[in-house]
Amino acid sequence: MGEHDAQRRAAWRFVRAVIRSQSAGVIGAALSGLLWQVGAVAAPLMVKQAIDRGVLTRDHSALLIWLGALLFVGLLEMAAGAVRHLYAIRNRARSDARVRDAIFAHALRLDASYHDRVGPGELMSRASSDSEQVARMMDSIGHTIGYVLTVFAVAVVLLVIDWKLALIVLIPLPLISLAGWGYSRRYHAQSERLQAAWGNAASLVEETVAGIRVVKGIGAGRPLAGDFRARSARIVERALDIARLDAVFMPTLEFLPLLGLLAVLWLGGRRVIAGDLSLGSFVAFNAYVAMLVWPLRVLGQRVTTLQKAVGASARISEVLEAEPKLREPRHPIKLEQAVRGDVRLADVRFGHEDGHPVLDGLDLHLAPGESLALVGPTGSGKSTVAGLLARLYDPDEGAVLLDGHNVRDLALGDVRKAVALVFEETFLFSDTVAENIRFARPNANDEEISRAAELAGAAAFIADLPDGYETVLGERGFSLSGGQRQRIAIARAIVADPAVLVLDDATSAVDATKEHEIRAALTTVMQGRTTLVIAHRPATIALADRVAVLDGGRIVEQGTHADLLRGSARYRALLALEAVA
Amino acid sequence: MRPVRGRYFGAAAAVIASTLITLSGPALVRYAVDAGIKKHDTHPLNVAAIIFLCLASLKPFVVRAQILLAATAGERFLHSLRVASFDKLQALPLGFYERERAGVLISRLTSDVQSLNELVREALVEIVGSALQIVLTVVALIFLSPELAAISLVALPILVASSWSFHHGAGRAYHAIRDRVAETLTALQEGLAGVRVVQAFRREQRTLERYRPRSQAQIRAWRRASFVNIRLFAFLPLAQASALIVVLLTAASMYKDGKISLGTVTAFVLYLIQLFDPIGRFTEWLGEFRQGLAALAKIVGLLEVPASITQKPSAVELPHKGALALSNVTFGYRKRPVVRDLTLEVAPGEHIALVGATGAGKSTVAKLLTRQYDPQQGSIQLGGVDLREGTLASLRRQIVLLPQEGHLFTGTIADNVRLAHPEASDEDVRRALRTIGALDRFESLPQGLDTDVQTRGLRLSAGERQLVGIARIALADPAVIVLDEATSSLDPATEVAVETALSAVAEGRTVITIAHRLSTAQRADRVAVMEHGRLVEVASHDELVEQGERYARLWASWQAGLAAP
Repeated sequence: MGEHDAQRRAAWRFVRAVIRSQSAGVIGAALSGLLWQVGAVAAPLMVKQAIDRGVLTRDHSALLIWLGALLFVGLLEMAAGAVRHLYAIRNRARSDARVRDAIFAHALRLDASYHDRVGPGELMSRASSDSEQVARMMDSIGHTIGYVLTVFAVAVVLLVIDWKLALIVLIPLPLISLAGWGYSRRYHAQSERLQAAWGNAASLVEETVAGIRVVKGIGAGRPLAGDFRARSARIVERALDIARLDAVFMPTLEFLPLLGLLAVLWLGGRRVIAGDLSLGSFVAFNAYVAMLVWPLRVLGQRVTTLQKAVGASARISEVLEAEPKLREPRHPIKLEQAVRGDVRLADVRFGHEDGHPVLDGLDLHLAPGESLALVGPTGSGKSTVAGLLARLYDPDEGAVLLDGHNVRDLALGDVRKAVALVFEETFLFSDTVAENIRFARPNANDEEISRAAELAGAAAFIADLPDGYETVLGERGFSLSGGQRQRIAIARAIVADPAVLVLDDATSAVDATKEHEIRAALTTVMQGRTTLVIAHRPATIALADRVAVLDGGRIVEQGTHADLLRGSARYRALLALEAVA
Repeated sequence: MRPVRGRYFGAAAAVIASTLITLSGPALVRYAVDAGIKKHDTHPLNVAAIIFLCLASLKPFVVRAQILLAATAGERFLHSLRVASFDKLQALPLGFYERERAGVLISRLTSDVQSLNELVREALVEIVGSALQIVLTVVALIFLSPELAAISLVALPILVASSWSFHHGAGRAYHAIRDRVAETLTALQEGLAGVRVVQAFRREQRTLERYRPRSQAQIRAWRRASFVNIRLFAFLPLAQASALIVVLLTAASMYKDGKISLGTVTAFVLYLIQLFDPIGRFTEWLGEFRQGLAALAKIVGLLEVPASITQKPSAVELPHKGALALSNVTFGYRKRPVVRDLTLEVAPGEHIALVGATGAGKSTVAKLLTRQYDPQQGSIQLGGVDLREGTLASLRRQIVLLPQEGHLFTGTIADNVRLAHPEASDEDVRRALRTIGALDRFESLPQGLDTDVQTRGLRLSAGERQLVGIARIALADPAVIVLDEATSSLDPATEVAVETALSAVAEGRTVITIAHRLSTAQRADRVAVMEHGRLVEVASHDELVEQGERYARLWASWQAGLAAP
């Protein structure tokens, strides 16, 4: 319960912050909305004057004067209405962008362990669907303030005309706000649930599109469609839950002002007959109470708009308030210009949240310029070591040292500049081949790009692409084979020119025949920099100066490839050399 | 669609009733004043009050019915739209995914559908309600004074001109918004799906910089739309003022000439003022309507992408047994043929390895076999039935593809194994895993088969992901398996496991492997060598090595690669 309240408070805080961020726009919208209301109220008064002083008295010049005034009011209303609308859309679009930008920027700061838990589909849904709810509120906020002021103005006028009747008419007002208050909490909770249902459906869409080859290959389309249908049906359920709230709240809101009108008609009418009230006042009263009906209805809708925004904000602030586990040190130690590339993992323990340690007291040292192949069975934590070196994760215990400094004390940017990590799965962005290679160093020139591609053994197939280096790759690099994608990733790392290079199974999909070709390239790349290679092919492993065997979360054996081949049965089994030979 | 339509009619009826109740208010007041208050008679006042009370107490129920009917109808419509779009994702050819970015597709199913919400929930009924009010008021105006009514038409050109100009610009403006939304979502999707690479290469700032212009473009698109919007309703007050001015001028001279009573003038003017209230709402909802229409057009655009792979009405079940025969198959992606005149007969249960350089057309053969595309010439038959004559369901059941990467969906390992067969029991899943010899490996995990694989399966190794993919096949029990480079990315230890799994699952089935590792080719019954889209050599490994031509050269260089220090 307490946690829920905290979340609610965070949501409100966020809504207030968004409103404050657009305060100029909100004020502009409110003022022009007010002016518009004044025009809308004044126009009938001008007409009344024109009839009373022009038509009735057959005074042509007075008629013209009042008609001129009417035209002026019309123009005023037109201008104010236009400005109000422009402000409303501006507030909407800007706050939408602001929320979206904030989520994206924060998500890029959150570390890998967060992204392991929350997928891109879910985050996208918060940055679009949830932010849309906040944007809708911002769209209507100017109008709403105008309407609130109208209600107050009308209330004052009514009280001035006849306070007794006015009090009776105005009784529904506090009831309305009470109803609004009572429902707002429920709207908040229901809307959060609806938004979660949307996020759930969006995640499946994202996953399906991302994994479309598997989906089509195994014929999983139909069951996934069934799953999606269920998620979509949940959206319907949640939306109808809100409609059921609407179906109680909105009719009440329409009904209560009618009671006011009834009171005016019956009580007021009786008092006119009794001579307590003038007929003119009675008519004016009726007109003014009628003016309340529309604003009150709209205000009711705005209560729900606001609560939906708050519900969505709870989901937004959940992302924005997630703290990256990786913290930038407050006073980072400056790395020397030329990073030597001395890497040490000292007594490192690391486990995912379920408490099963992946690394359990790991010690590993790579001298500057040294290359080390890390081998080990599936799940032994090789990729975790790679992630720790690039500081995608922090160890639970122990330390990762770069040039003798704990990486936690260094600026994150410095660490990642010094350490380049090439993943097994290559993520290509929908951009040209050249831009994808240039990824790590945006100011690299074309010559450096083509040299890197050459080294990575990618130049030949790039030349065969329709537009060479300017070929735009599909989002997931569909048009390239796994091996081709990996070679682009290696070229990317070459361009980055890091002091420490980590190849996490980065040549696994390169044809064995092609790997032969890029072996020379790898040798060149490894020259003069510290390299950690995670690989399985003996030929690749043999490129490294030294081999470390990882098992049970520790280094169990170290030595040269040749020594281990000779001396370690475990090593030979690991490389399945017995099976192949 | 029929129940949806019925609900919409119901909602429209409720709106009409609610509008009539609203309109009856002033009429009752007028009756009470004229018949009662002015004559100091309380009876008509009481009658009016009682009628008013009755109508007012009806109103909540009418409004309630309207809300519920419109919401149910609208939500069901959106649901069917979402489901149809998702089904479409499955029907689209792979080529479509190579062109279209994921973010755009996601925006169609999420943001576009969501922006229809206003249209289906409120705009339709509000438009009906305000249209009714407009019509009734106009009737009243004509009834009061046809002459003045004709004169007030002077406002019409303003209204027509402004709405024409709105509709002229609205389509483009709102389509632009939908496009910009898709663009931003694409940028978000890429950045988030690739967040690990972005972080590893310190590209957070650049990624944001590349995204921001798109986000800004979305603001600009809204801004342009807002300028189109104000054409629609900013001129309303001007139209209203002009109509009132000419009516009052005319009425003044008519009154002077005694052609019209003051009461008529007053009533006419009051109705004329009232008329612009529903017109205002009508136009406002019309704006929402156009906005929704743009989103709808985008979704319909997706739904109307022709699915190149369709099922014939006369389609039959593909057999579970029989030879797989490719006869004179030619296929190319634009004009360049990638597979040329390929003929190959694979016996039931035979294992064939497709070998060749990158770009030789091996992957395309895999796509043709699984009918991601249809051959432009020639045919592919399973057990004598052309794949194009088979039902899509039986095609997906009998011929499955195991792609290179083992993509995992969120959920447990068991969920992932039964991806294509959600009805499979836990025992079925275990049997499938046992068949491929991977049960122990997954059961030894802390939560066993219920271990959550997490988004993108980062915690399972590539080999384990492959094993899950193979278990899916064991569960699917197909006639033909197409393996696309499936064994080229594993560590040797897991590779042994995967190979065991594959041979278990391949047992008794026809298997076509797109092999990069020639050790795989060596184990196949026959090897088919492709070059520039053509089949150049087909025979067993030993025979081909003996022939000493293309395959023999590939084999030699493969062995050299293995033997290198």
